[in-house]
Amino acid sequence: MTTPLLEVAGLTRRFHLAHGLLQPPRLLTALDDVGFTLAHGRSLGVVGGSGSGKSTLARLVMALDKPDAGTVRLDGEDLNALPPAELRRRRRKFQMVFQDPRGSLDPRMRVEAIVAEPLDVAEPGLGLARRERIASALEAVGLDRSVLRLFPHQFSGGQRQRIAIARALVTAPALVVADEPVSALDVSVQAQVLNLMMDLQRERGLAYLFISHDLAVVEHIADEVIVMHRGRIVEHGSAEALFRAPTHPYTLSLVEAISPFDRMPVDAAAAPDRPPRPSARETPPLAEGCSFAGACRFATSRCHREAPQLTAISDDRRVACFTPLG
Amino acid sequence: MSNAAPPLVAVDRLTVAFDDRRLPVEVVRDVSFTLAPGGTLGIVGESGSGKSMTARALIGLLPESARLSGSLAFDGRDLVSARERDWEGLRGRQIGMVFQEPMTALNPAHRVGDQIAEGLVLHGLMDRRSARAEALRLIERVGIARARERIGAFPHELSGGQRQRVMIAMALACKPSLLIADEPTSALDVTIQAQIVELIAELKAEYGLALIVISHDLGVIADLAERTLVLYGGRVMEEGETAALFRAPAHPYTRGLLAARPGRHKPKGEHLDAIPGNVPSAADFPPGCPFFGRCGDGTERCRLEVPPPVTVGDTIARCWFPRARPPRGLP
Repeated sequence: MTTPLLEVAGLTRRFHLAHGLLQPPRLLTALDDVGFTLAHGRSLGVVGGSGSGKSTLARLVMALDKPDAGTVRLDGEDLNALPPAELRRRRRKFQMVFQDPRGSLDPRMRVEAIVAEPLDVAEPGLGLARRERIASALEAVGLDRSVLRLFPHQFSGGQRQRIAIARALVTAPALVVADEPVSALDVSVQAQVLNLMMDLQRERGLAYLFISHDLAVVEHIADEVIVMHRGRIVEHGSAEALFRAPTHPYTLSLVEAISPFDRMPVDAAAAPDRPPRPSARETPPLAEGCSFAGACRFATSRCHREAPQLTAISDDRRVACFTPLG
Repeated sequence: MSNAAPPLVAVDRLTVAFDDRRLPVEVVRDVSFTLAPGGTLGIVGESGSGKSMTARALIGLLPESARLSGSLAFDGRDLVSARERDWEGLRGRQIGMVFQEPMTALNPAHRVGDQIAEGLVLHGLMDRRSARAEALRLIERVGIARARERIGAFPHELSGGQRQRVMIAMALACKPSLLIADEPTSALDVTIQAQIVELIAELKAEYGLALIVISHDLGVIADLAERTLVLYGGRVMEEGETAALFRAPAHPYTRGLLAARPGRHKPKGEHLDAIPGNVPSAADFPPGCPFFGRCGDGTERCRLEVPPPVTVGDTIARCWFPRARPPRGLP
């Protein structure tokens, strides 16, 4: 087998929570033993609620933060084992697009300087070629060189996200980590940006780690999906099969939460005799056991005591549940 | 509306304008609708559509610099000339409000139970003791677990979903006849969103509330609203029964909005039917139809003249060339 572009193994990140003078320090495990691979040119969607660890995962994959355990390998190289200067050079290969282009583009910088930033880090001293690279990245996202001298506030939200994508493309990366790239955009503009991202993937063989709370968007874009809940992967499979026949009750709750307006019909045969969906009441999390047990209508006493491990149940499906659905 | 009951809310040719560099900019233009007691109305639109300004006009929370024209009536009372004192008697008492971000609407320094009880005392409906008991009942009713402990919590001690539940309890405390929910679920996780939508639907039936729900999210509108108004550039583009509007939209903007969403109607990985261009800023809309320039079918007439409302099938569209048909890409 060839080396995957991205290989994440055992990734764990804990944060110390603020605590009082006399209270013992508390640890929050934001990411717990997360592992997956992503091949060149493929898209992996990451879904989950707030606090599921999606954004922590993005920061660790981008080597913007160090894990407490586990590795992030890009083309086989452990990013956290590289000396800082080497890591800076490697950044050419992986870039990020954030949710809110208003927040991620410096309002005092001109478009040229914004797009040039990652290029100057990864490939300093390009000379005359630098401006050509910037212009061609902008051209790839549908903007011409007349925008080079403008400031971010002179653009609409969708155009600003195009600039953010141009900045990610300028170093010709193999991997783009996109954290909620269209969530802040109007519906009528979201489709434009998604189309652009799909085109760029086809033209350049990009791989995406695509983080989104919007299941319809993820299903459209991603080849595979991991579902995260409180720092752990609870389910991993091909996008189509996972949403059509979820095997983890949390995935099922996400699919059921989609409005009928957007709903992808759940395969009736795959989920017989379901207890009714819990009503409009909140469900507090449990201290131990499966993190979803408190809200799960299939939970048994075992689920409240023990946390299930992520286990392969078929060639292309992993699930962390003692009694997977289907 | 179909029955003879007088409307609870009657909005006629509502226009909201601001002075931008001495030129008036209209952010809401000629918006009209009525809402019967117990009815629901969805207002859907993107940023700059005027949906939030319409909501603010309905609760007297427009910025000082806003200029209002047209008419606005609640339960037969004119609201255009209402003073702040009149509004204080209405807001929270007869009109409840739920906003996108409960953290900005809740007072961070007060316990949530006291904040829920406060309205009841302030409007002279209950003494402090009964108001506190009612607050507990409401906290239980909106589905917050361990209500007895949570009644004494401060807003920052609650999750986003819990805070939104507290907002709903506050909005309903005085048993209003109208609830205005402005992006009530947009800041929440998908599963919590579904719970809040369900809760609002339950409470609406239980209290016999009229509901105006404002959202950019077509799913939330489809789940909650019987009738829907589609706004763009401050103007009503189309209105009708929500089901009819989504099944056979007659306005190119409504069609475009529906078709732009990924979903079962588009094969995976295929291009989505994006609406070209960007939403212009308020001062840059053409004199005629605001959607001119992004619409595939625009003519010179569309650019210059505001189209009148025409009934097409089951909806009313403001378009010179309306066509009732499914959104592009849909079967």
